[in-house]
Amino acid sequence: MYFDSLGELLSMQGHGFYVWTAYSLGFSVLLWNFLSPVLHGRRQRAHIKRRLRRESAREHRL
Amino acid sequence: MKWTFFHRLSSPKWFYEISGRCLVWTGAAALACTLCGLLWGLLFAPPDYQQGNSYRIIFIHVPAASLALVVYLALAVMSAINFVWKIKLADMAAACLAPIGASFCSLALVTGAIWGKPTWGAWWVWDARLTSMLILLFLYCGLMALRSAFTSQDMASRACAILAMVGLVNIPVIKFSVEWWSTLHQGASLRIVGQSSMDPSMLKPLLVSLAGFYMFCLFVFLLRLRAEVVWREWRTSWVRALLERSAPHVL
Repeated sequence: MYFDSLGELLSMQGHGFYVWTAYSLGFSVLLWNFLSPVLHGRRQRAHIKRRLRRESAREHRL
Repeated sequence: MKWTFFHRLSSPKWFYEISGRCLVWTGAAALACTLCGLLWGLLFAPPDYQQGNSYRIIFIHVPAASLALVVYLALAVMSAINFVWKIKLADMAAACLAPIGASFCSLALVTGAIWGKPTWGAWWVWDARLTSMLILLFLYCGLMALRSAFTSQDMASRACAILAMVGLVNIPVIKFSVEWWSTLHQGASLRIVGQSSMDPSMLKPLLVSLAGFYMFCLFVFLLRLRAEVVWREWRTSWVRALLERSAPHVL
């Protein structure tokens, strides 16, 4: 590792704020890109399943 | 040459089956390469002799900016395919690419601003590269807004296809802005053809990070497109059968 201590790694010779902010935002964007389709897909599937159940119940009544 | 492959490729059912097989491998490769590239760049690469440690933002900024452009190119190609041949999978792909591209474009702009402060002394300058990237973000946002403005799927896909193809003009402007105009933004340090100006100790983690981001982009694109296929095709018998046998946590 290039840095000798955790303090050096965090401060990055005065550039720590810029570097760590950029990396945090980077990870947030990656996480959003992963979670967004997973959660959205789940909601959609649940919605479709509910709709299919309603339709089949209506068919049974008829 | 047999064209059956291309015909099959445009089938949502065939895509869903094939993409399901490569999803885990793409995700694993994306996770391994992205983590390796970012940790290598953050912890093990040496600092730059002029910019010090602030240059480490490059390992996020360059892959994000590169993806913002490539995703737009892919979006425009998919839009053109849909516009000419009316292939619905191409329209679904274009719809899924817009939020991914917008997120990477925003990331490139914000990390660029964060990098600009210690390097140039300003968060933002109305430089040709920065301005054309901002226009790209507006294009992505415009495409998403336009798609949601129509109730008719067909009208939305045609309008978005036209806007995407017109917006393609901006891509060479972004790419060559640093050569056509006198800009504060530096020229390309990474070249596909010819010698890169970066030292191998910095170039290697950047290439790994780029590979990781590209794999990740492919992975999330497949996730989005699979969800979109299920949503638009839910009346078909194969999606109904799929939903009946699948657990709620299946991607």
